[in-house]
Amino acid sequence: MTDHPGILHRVANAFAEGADRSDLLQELMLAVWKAAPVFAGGSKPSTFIYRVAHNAALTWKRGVSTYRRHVDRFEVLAQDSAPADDGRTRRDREMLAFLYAEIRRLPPVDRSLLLLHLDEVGYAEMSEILGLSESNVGTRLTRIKQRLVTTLQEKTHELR
Amino acid sequence: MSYDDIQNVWKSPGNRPSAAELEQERLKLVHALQRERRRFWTGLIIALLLSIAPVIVAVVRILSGRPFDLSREWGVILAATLPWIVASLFIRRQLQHRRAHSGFEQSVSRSLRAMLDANLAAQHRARIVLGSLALDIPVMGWCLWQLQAVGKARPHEAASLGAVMAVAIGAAAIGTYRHYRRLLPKEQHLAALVAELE
Repeated sequence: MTDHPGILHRVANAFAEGADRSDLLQELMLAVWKAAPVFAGGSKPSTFIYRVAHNAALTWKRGVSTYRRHVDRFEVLAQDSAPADDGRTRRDREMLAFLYAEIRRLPPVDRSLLLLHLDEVGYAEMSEILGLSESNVGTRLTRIKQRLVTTLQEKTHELR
Repeated sequence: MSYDDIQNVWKSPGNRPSAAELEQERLKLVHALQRERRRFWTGLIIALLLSIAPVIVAVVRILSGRPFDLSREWGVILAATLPWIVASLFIRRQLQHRRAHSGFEQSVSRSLRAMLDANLAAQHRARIVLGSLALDIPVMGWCLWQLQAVGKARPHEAASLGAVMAVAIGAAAIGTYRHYRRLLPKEQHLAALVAELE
């Protein structure tokens, strides 16, 4: 987990928001920790972590709260150490928030596929992780990418 | 905006956790694991005490020379056997599940199918528990009657014991039914995910 910390954070961002994100991240870390004894080195550590994390994220259900309203707004992600007047960093963060908001609108399995593709995981490895055929992965990804680009183009155009 | 732009944003430093955030999450995980360990050991100790206590009481009574007439007090044997019948049904279903889903960790698709089957197995267990609790009512009633018949309990004592048993069985039945109801939407969620992966 210490060699691949970003994987769990990106999965948590894509499957939850706000306070739920922290709960999900803990669930993912617990899931990887519990599954670690089963890892026999038959695949890459990153493949193993992807498999466990996506399995846990897909089956995770957020706690039901009568107090909180979960509105998928364009919230800026947690502040990092970049200076506030670095225009490029702030723009990237805002774009990232748009991107995650759109990723969260996708059906769960499509979300997993897109996350893996954005992390530059190959089709063969994606097929191994999710248990889909490579051709199925390719067909779905083409559709998901087209939809994402179109939606984000419309949203960024509206905001100019 | 092109997909390449999206990938550049994805690779930006804002999409990586900072060292401080990593350390904070690590500490939270350590606390969560410690909490889970404490819960596990507390639950195990309570379960062991509850299982062993009646056996110890029975053995002490027999060793202290109090008479036990099997021909007139067989109800208690039946009551003690019921949990073992339930346990054997649980174990049989669990073994079926493990045989059908060995290698579940190989892919998300196989894991989800295993989780769906585990959910169905949990529903099956809940139904068995509800059935055994329903069977418990006449069995416990018969035990109380036999206790009175052999003079080991007076009518008001049997009535008190009956009331306590009724409350315990009722509470267990309500808890089991609530647990069963919580399993149903989870089954639907898992079935939908499995269908998406087909």
